[in-house]
Amino acid sequence: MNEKLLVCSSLTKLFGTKQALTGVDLTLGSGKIVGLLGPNGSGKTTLLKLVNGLLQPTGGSVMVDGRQPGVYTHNIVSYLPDKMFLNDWMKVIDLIRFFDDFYSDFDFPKAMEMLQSLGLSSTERLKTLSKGTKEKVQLIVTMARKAKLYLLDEPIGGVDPAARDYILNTILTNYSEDSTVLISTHLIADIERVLDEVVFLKNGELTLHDTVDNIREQEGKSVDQLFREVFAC
Amino acid sequence: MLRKLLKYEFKSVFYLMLPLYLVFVVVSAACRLFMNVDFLQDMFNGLPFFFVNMVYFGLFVAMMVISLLMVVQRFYKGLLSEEGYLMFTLPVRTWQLILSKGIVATVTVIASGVVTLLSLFILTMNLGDIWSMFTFDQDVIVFSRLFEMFPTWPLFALEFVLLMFVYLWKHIAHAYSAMAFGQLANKNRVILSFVVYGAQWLGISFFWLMVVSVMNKLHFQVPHRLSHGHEEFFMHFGMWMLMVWQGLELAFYYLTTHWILSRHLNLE
Repeated sequence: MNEKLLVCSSLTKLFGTKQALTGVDLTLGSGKIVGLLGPNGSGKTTLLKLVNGLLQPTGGSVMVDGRQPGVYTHNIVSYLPDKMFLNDWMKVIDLIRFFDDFYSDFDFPKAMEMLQSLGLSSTERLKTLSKGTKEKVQLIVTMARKAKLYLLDEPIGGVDPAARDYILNTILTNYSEDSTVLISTHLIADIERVLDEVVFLKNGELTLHDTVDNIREQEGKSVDQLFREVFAC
Repeated sequence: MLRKLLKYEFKSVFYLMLPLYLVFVVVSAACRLFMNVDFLQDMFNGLPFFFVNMVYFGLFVAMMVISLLMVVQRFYKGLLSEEGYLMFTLPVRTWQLILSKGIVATVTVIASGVVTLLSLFILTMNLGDIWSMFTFDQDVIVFSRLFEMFPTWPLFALEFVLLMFVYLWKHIAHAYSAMAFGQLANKNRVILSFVVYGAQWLGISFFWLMVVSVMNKLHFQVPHRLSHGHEEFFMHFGMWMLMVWQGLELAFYYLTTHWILSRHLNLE
């Protein structure tokens, strides 16, 4: 068990004069499913990009397993962005081979099994797939890795409710005790049942980091209810 | 990892380019057929002949344009747009990403050039000319004369090919560097890329102008007594100096691209 799998210290990100993240201090250990919750524009995606090295911090630092984002952290972090990163010329099987080639922790048979259970054909071209199906393919290649840290940015945002259940079950059944899943979303009601901890982000600031059990005990309400109160317009 | 990156980059590019090359060669052969057969030229008032020529010209332009677009698009779309979310989270180093893009882009431009030459060859050469190229006696005469006049010509040819490769790669790296600077902006990235491209070109031209004028001021030139009788050596020396010149510019563009993408990546 690593108690400091992800450590953000005074993490700050500015876009021009706009403050996207302000002094975020966050430590996550392994073996947890954590919800990164906040309304649109609260800095969830920015935080995940900083952890992946896709953006550089304006101030503070981010460490994954004791290292700055780089080749080592890319080997242990499996990231599902909120964007379509697929190369359209590929077939589904090409993408799976691509991941198998680059990531030593990629489980090829598991990916094929997940494809089959979602009724997807491996020979289909990615450009012919619908947006929802592409999102499922991206989720499959992300979850078919045996990573230490999964960073999922809005994994259930664009899919139908039936697929949401499948995705949440996929997340639950595919992560191990040694790994942590950080899920960014604002669809809390759907995801609350799988979460161990929650992190609230508001206007780029971390306003809450606690376990779901504590919130229910101390506040006497669900995470969804608390979220609606905290972020009421 | 570089080998794997190259494999996927070549696949991405030649998935589109190979069919285009094939069609271009086939249309060149069709054009040649129409040019050689009077009956086909006069058929339907020469309409099919005109059509094939137009298709050839269209493909010629398309191939040039697509090759150049491919160079820009594979870098911009593949690294600085949504595909970048995948590429920059692979367990590879930034220099490997840039190098793989640069190598494949250079090879693509060269391949397009070779296919264009092949098409011109198909259009203009006679069968007799082609046969004479493979006539051993003729070759021996040509090569022995070349060796007499210029004994180190194979080395010169190799230097020329190398120089062309570095020269092409430099221009591609220049475009990469400008695009890398462009992604620093949160808005108007394409405009900034063009501005940086022009500014870099002006800056580097000015730098070399200064170097040449300083050398002129210092009367830096090889004395005639040294160069006399060593003309061939100085020709090779000149080629290597050109290569160093182009190589320095290539290194500048490559390093600026690497510095930006590894320290100031700004995937929006």
